[in-house]
Amino acid sequence: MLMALAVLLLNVVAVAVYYGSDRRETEDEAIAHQFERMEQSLTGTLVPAEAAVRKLYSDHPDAYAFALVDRASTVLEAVNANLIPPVATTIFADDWVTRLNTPSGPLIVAGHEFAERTDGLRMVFVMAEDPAGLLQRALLTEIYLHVGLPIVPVVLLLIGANALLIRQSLTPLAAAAVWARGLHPGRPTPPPPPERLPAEVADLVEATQRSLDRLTEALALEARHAAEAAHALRTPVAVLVARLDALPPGEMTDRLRADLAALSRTVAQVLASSRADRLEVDAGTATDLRDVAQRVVAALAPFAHAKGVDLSLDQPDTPVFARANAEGVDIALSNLIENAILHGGAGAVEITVGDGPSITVRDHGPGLPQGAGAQMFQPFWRGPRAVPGGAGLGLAIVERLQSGQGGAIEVQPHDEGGCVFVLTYKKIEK
Amino acid sequence: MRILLVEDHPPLAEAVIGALGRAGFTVDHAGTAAEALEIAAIADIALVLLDLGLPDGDGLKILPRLRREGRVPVIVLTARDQLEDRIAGLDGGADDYVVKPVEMPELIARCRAVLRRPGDRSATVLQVGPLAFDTVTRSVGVNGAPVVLGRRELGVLEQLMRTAGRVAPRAVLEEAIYTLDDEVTPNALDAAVSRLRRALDGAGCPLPIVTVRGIGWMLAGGAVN
Repeated sequence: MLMALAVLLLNVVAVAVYYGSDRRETEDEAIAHQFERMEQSLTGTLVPAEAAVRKLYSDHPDAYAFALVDRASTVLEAVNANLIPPVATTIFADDWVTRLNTPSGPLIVAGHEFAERTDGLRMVFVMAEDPAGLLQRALLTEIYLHVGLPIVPVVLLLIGANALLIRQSLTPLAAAAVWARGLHPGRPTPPPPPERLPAEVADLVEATQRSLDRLTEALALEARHAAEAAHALRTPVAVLVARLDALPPGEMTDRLRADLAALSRTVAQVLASSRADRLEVDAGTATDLRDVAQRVVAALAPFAHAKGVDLSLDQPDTPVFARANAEGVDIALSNLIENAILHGGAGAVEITVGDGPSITVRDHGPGLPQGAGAQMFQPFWRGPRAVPGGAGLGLAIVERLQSGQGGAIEVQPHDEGGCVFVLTYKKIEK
Repeated sequence: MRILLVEDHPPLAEAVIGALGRAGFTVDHAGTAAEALEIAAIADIALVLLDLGLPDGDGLKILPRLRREGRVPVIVLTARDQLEDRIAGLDGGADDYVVKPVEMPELIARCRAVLRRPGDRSATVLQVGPLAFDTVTRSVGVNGAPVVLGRRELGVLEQLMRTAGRVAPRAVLEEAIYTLDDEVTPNALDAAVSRLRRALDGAGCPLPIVTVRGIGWMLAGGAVN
């Protein structure tokens, strides 16, 4: 594009310099143009010249003059005749130009016989000055004829073709960008774009794919290490929990039991956390949220009862399908209900499955801690009233599970006290 | 009652054996799959507690032989807690699936619950705390004192006792009373539960029947005993 414009500009400059440097040539062109205009304006056998043509002369009586002369050298018509040297009307020649130096300054005098006509009519043209810019116009006309006409269309064509070519050659790159946007570390790499890629782009795609694969491997390895560590902790924790049974009942035993419960919960959370990152939800996975809610609420009811909390579940009679992984919903909902039981104080915890598709968990506790917002969902965040021993992983796990499944987690205080956690999921596309 | 514990981790095995012993069970211990099969072949085992990660193979592989066509209940006791593992365990014939670490009172309650389930191994008397239910004479007692209950209440109580400490879904309880009488109104179950509650309260039974609205009911306290 720039290239084409530069070529155009260069041409304009070249023509301008050529004609601009050769004044005589330009003058000839300007004079020829005047003859031409006159000839076009003459109709029939005789004059007078049209008003439009005459205007130049009547406007500038000291600059331009013309005379129409017949074969017998009779002046038929003359405007500003005082400028015309008398001899000029007597010169018989088809075409002539002469430059005179008169006491009042240089004078260009030219004659022309209108070849198209048979009556031998001639015109004499005189130019003393050039206030109407005839020379300038002649120069512009030249530029237009030599540059405008032949080069501009070519340049435009070139620019158009270039734009088209560039766009076309960038299409695979755009496709590759779309593909790259679909990449997530830790998820399987989608197949590269179906467009035939030029070697350079194909190379870029392949390199991206390779580095992403390595990243995914590293992430998987890290998650596996965390999972292995947590898994390895389970057996010693299990031993401790089992041995605790042999201790005589008492305050110390109860405290140890509570500590161990917290430890074992943290170990479970670390395992859940590593699983949260590896959940796979393809578009076809339909989970009835009611099934999961029923299972989770039933499983946690004994724990709730032991803590003096009543659980209840409200759900519609028809299935509530969501695009979600059942285990992911299970872990997220279990975390929220456990939180509500542990932090919501004694009182009811109400779970509702709605057509969102969503699941809400409402407690009647003290509500959200001051200043808790999005940071609640950061790993290791712990509320000011948190039960000692927690790791602050629960809500972060829920957040990751939700974003991994294209859903969301929200929390808001309830008008009548307590707070409401809402898990939302993607609908199943029909 | 004799329980076979298949667990390869010595300290954990020792601790679980101690806890089960204190709960009144006799425990045989096997550290490997081969040993477990040997013991199962010669001893009269009432229940198997099976760890899945054994040094000589996956516990799930020997599960069918330990079950003896369903005559011996099996509880899988494992550190694997993924949903697929649980489903594989239960599909493989396990009667229950317990994820480590587990509190001993809960494990013992689960053992009792499995032993209470119907089948040829079922005891004629279900016992949860001070509450006793004779499934043959269909009589109920609290601390030995008889409690008179209607047929529907008996049906509900039997089911609640079999799953004591866990929630019995409404559908399961409804089935328990519908078999006795086809003309049942939609809230017949709620009515039966509240009559049962009053009767047990009146007899001084300390175990509450907990309502889990939207799911069902639970006879609490099963895990304590």
